[in-house]
Amino acid sequence: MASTHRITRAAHLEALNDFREFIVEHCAGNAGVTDEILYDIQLAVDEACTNIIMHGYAGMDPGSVIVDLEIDAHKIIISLTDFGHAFEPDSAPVPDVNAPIEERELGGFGLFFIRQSVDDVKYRTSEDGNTMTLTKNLAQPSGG
Amino acid sequence: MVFLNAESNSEKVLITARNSPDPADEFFALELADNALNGIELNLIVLNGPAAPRFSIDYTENGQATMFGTLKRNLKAEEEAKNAGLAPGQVRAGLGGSRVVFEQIDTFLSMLGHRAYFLEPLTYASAWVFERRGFAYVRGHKLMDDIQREFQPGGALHQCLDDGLAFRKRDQASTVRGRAWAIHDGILDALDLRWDKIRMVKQIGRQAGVDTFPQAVY
Repeated sequence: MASTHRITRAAHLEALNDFREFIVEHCAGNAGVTDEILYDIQLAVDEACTNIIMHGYAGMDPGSVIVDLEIDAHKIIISLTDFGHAFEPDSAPVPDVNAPIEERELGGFGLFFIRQSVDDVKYRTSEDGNTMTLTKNLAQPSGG
Repeated sequence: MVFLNAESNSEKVLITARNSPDPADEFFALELADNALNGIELNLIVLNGPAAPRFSIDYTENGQATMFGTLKRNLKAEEEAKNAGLAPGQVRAGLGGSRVVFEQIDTFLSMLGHRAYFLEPLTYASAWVFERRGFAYVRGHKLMDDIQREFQPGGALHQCLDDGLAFRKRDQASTVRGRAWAIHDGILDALDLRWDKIRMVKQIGRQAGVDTFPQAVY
């Protein structure tokens, strides 16, 4: 049986800690949520929220970020909705993670980290806002 | 009497209702408009108790329109309205039916295939009401958080309250209407901010869960 939760905050760096606590509150302790999975989810949500704060609402008085979390025995689905500038993940430059550190561009790793941390990333933009949906599969108990 | 104004080649529709021939007795008004992105704007919503006393905050003592106190102010009428428990921009006490009206707007726009609609709240009090009706912010959520923080004891806005000023009395910090009157009176100058360009969105069928003034007293 899935449970659903929501938190809405202003798109501001001060809100990041609220989002982190929200993830821990509703994921930690659930069967299938290992420490590694919890870390991956926190990292992905942190990066996605930071992108919204730094880029989605750039140049405007920040609006809202709505984070919806749905968890069941098999997966966690997190949707992040904002109403700022739309973002096209497929056109975002792919960082060269093999380049020597002194030659790497600053920034640009957010989407890379998100994709590395979860099993599926979807992005949709329409008249009712921009929504990034992250899916993370949970560890399944070994059979026996 | 109910009036529907939907001129051809216009992007707007206005519905009004009043219980006398006098337009000043209008107690319901709703204007919806298409925007440039094929979305819907809620330009105006008025829900007044038709039998409630009327305060002429919408006209100066010389008879000039104030645009609900946004362009000019009738300070005498505003002070009377404030003392009667109204919020800025209100000419009469509210009808108390916004929940039903917004449910109907959601249903109507959903039938037209829309997923959201937008508005720009006239006052802090109306933004607070729209939060309770499920709206989120396109612009201004952080401003609402800043207002909440600075009206706490010791905050910059709290320090600007003075019992000697009609629209900035000390007890106004603790209520939605009190804050709204102080903001209407320009108290945000203390933060070098203005109440403008606030924009809100209602996703149809969804409550955003925004609460910038927890445990608020209206």
